[in-house]
Amino acid sequence: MTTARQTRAQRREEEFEQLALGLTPRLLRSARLLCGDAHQAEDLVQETLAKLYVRQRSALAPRLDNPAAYAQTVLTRTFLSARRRRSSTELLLGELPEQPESWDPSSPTGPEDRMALLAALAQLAPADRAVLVLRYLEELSVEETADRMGATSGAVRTRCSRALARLRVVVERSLVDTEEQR
Amino acid sequence: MNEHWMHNEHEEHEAGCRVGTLLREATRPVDAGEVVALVRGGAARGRRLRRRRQGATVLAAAAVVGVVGGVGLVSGPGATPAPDQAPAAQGREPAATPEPAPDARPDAGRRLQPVRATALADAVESVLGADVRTVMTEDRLRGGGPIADLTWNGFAMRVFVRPAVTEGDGATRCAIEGSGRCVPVDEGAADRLTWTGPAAEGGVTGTSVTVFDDRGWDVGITVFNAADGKRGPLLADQPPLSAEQLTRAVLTGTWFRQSGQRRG
Repeated sequence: MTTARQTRAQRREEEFEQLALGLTPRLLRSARLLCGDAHQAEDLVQETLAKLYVRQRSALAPRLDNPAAYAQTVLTRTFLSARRRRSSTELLLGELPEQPESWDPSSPTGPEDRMALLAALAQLAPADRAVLVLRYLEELSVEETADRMGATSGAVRTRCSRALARLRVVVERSLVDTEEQR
Repeated sequence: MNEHWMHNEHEEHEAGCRVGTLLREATRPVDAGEVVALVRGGAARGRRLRRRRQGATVLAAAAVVGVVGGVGLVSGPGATPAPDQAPAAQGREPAATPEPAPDARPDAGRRLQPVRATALADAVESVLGADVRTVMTEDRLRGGGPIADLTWNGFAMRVFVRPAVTEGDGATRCAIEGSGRCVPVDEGAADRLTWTGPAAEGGVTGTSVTVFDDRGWDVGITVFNAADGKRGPLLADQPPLSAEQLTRAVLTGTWFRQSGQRRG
């Protein structure tokens, strides 16, 4: 009996490892954009994987139909929940700088542009950042984004418009460059 | 304010597509080694989280059993037997002692009693010496085991003793509950782990040894390179005791009361 139990436990461990290896690169990319800090991103991903592990090993919970969506939901909500807890220490600026300090027009998506984008993202509210990452990095619909965040579709649309507006400096330049390249 | 920027949904869609491209380009490729390390770390955290939840479940179940048992005692002696109760149960012959419920702990393990949490500091001092001070103690870890947060020469240390909640000998339980780094030891297996927390929280390094013994007990010691196990400032590059030293300390058996010794 012990051997059967041990075998079952080992099989579940292996299943989890395979699943996690497949999900982690995508989770880490999202986490890096959400957190803006490599260490915090890794911590967020590990916390997400830990929760996924517990869920996978639970004998009572039904099997997950879509583990990737579950992991993404856990990642997003864990991030938002942690940010709510530490919101008193977060500095949000009212306006973005009109011009990134160093921007090279010849490199539409060069390092300066990327740094400007990351700096702009860092100044958004955590939920606005989450909306942009889910909608435009993960390419989810408004409804799916709302589901991952535990928000309404209306709230997601509003946040999305607002976040895009706040990123306008970076995006406008990028749009101009795209036009010039055509 | 921004009306001039996005006049319609088409513009917003275009801006969104552009943001998507920028976001994808802004994230550097993920290294395979990084992924493996994260998965291992996530699984280890998952195992710890699962153990904590199982401990909480055992406590809740014990509380329910206590309540139900209390109700049974109140209604038991002298109470009128239920009409459908078996005649044998209503007879005058004393009922036979029921067989004990299956237990993960063999007999020898069931007879063991861990010391009280307040005595863990003395136990640490007796096996590891140095200046040991108590920060926090709790006696109800996983249905009865003690846990204590201490400082050892100023370094944060956590010690716990808890009854097993999974079945099997030490090696089996270590394989199920441990972090995947089990080594065989006398009468069980030891799970040894060293990790470093996020730099944002001080990058505290911890070395942890949990021995899953064949008698059905888990005993663990974790020592950190800071005065606080969760955040810096760091007192040294590494924790002051090695996994080998911690293993030897755990295996001393100091964590259980000697027979005839009074609790505490």
